[in-house]
Amino acid sequence: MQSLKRSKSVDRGAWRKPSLAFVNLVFGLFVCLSTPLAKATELPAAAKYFFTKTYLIDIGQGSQLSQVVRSSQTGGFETANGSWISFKGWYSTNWTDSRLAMMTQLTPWLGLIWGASTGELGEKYTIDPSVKVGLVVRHDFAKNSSLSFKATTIFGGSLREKSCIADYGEIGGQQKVNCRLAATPLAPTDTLQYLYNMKPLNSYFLSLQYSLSF
Amino acid sequence: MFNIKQTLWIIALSLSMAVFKTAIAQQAWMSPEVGTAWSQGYLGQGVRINMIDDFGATCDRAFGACHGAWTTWQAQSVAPRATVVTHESVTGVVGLVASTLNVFNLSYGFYSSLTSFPTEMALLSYAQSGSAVIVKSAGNSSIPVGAAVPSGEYRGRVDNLAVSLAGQPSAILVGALAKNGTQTNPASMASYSNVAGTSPVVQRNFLVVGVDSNALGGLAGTSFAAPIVSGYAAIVGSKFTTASATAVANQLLNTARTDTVTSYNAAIYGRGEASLTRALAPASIR
Repeated sequence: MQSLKRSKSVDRGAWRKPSLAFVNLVFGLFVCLSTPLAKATELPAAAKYFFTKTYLIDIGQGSQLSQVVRSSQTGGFETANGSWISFKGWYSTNWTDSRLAMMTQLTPWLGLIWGASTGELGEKYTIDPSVKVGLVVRHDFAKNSSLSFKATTIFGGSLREKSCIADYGEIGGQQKVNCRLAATPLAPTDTLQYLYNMKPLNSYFLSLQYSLSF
Repeated sequence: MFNIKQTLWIIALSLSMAVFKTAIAQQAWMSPEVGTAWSQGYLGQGVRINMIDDFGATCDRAFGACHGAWTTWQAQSVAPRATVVTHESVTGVVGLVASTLNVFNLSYGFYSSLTSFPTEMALLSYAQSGSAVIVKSAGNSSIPVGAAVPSGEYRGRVDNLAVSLAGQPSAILVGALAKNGTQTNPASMASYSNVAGTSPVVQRNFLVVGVDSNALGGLAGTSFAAPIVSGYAAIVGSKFTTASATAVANQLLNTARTDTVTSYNAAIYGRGEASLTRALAPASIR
């Protein structure tokens, strides 16, 4: 039974490695394509087509989930003996979740959206790396009017908060708690239901846009 | 009988007592720590506070209401979701309810021998066995707990209940500060309040809390300090649902603050000012 549990834990770790590798690949590819070397004429025709028909549509650092974590940095509490425990160190990171999204035009009316984010890691939380894929379809009614439909989905990118071990001494002993709620009147075990466990807020995104130029 | 200010206070407090059944509100006489504790939603539920006090038609009245009505209102205000049960003094043994934390609030002095009074003997046995948190007011004679009362109706007599409870595992004796203390604005002992005295046995079980008489419309006395601690015990008990009465009492005693009172001295303040915030917090976390 124990070995079964262990193998489950290995599986989860194994999932993250390819995910991270893929993210690195996406970023690496983008960097390569952006260099003069990549523009050299010896590139195969398909790669040249890919490069000339691929556009950067989003790049940035920080996400809504990063903001959720950031908002937890400001708090803290006094322990039973009066020492101040700050949340800042627990919810800080050296690397903020960074994302990149590209659109490759497959036909004049169909585009493939693809991208990734790096995720971020703090002492008491993890935002997983993510992969974004989607499609955009565009129909031109006239020279100055068009309708476009966009659908994207994000795989990964979840925010998961880690628990703390709090020692309540004689009255409660050592218990697993939500670090942020350890000193509140909530029963220690009840605090665990408030651990952050959130998917990216834009996991599924649909948009329909009509554009008219005049 | 009452001046205009006192009358207005009576009306305001009476309204508070009436409104409180439907609304929960931080009140000026409470420590700010109470509101902080409430903000997470646990308010003393699952805990039973027994108020042994004066409720009858011939009760000792203050500002138009029985002494017991005021103390009950205070305890229920601090721990809004606790089950608060009133018992007329000297009515016999009040039993314990199983599977819940039992808290007893005793806002009275007892100057006779305990042995012929089953109510007090039972309360003492609860404190001795650690089967209920027994919270008792320290008294209003400006003397150390255990000293003879210097004047008045009980002149020359000793509060035997306070003396008997001192040193018991789940007993807390409560003195009154003139206000709620903070580090920057520490509080002094209320002029009327009994103090812990030099006995380490009493000091071990002695806590203080602010009784802001102005915010309470003139109510003063350690009678109104004990219900605050009873409410704190209920809130602590609603967090640590499996904790024993002794553990709850010790948590309040062990986490009392000595930096929010003026010139802390164990012979005056005992363990210090009760701190609900610290009582709810872990000793360490990683």
